[in-house]
Amino acid sequence: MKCDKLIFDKVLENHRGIIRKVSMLYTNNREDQEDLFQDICFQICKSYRTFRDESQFSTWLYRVALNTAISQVRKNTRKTPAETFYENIHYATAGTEDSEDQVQQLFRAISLLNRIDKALILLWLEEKSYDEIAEILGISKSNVSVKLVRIKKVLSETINGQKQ
Amino acid sequence: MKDEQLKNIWNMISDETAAPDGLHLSQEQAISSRSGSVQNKIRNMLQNDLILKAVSGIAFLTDLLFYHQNPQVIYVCIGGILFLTLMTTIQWKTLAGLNQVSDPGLPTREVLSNLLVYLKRKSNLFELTIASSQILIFVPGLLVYYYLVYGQVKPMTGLSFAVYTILILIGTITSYIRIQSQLKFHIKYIHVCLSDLNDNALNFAFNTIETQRKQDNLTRLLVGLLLIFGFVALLAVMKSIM
Repeated sequence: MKCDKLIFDKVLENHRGIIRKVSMLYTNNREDQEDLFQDICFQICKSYRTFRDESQFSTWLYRVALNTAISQVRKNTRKTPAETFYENIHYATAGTEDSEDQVQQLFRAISLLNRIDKALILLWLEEKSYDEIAEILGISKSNVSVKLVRIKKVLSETINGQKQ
Repeated sequence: MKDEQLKNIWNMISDETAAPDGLHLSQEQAISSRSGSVQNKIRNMLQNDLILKAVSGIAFLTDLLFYHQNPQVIYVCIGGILFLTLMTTIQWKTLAGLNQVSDPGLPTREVLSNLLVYLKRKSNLFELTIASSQILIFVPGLLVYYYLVYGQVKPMTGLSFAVYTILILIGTITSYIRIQSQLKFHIKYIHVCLSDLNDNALNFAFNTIETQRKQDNLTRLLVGLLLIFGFVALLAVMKSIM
């Protein structure tokens, strides 16, 4: 299946932010991040013809991006520790140094989750409804709810632990 | 920590900033990085085999040292070194040609098109030269082993000679098939990349391949005959001394 140039450019133009966040969450270093970003763009572009109007485009896009990230992360062989990456990377935030620290703490906490939990929390942070999360990840709504309670608790504890 | 606090922290990440430079890519740049990985894999394959051939050269020289009083082994070693030199020269030129066609200064579609033409034209040479390493390692290795264990070339029966010949052939053919399937995979991958670029590069490559293929047929035939002759000659000399 071909990747149409127009679709590729459109995907990049409109959904760069989402794809970037997914690739940041699922990699530990800049090279892997770039590779994953490219892979997701290509996968979205190539699978575009399979997109059906019965689901929202953003739902479909998250599904493709997360499936690509989850399958790529299995193959990831680079051994840069997550800590090194999250300490060094400069997250451009809209606020102060304090807000940058908070973002780093959040990323560090998310990096400790397994790949499915990462996808769940990402979708929740992106303001997706439980119905949409269930549809994207192919699990039941009640399962989403239960898992999210547990993940949020783990995240809070990890972030509070980092502060102390 | 409350839900809203977590979401507020998440929303501090700007969508448009903080992306590494490499993320501001065009379709062509993305394809370029993929074609680069194909070139590197093929280059590494050739370089690793050249290292193997260097080891074979050292083994032949060691055999010359060990068996300097045995003229028949010296003939085998000299024949082996000549064969090794020929294979290494061909492989070295192939590697140089690969570097030339995949010059990073060229546009991506040109690099991909050149690479496809080059691999299609030279795939037989790749397969033969790399597969030849099996015999080039086995023969001097066996001679070194005999010297270290027995202090001389051990006389061989017809059966052991047949077993060694079969082992060499199995190694060489297996290696040939392995390299062939790897190259086919790379060629298919380049096809996909070129097809993703949506232009006439693929058609151009096909036309060029067809023209070049006719010119290369004679060269392939000569190299093939040379290899068969070399292999038979080496076996004949080995049989006469063992």
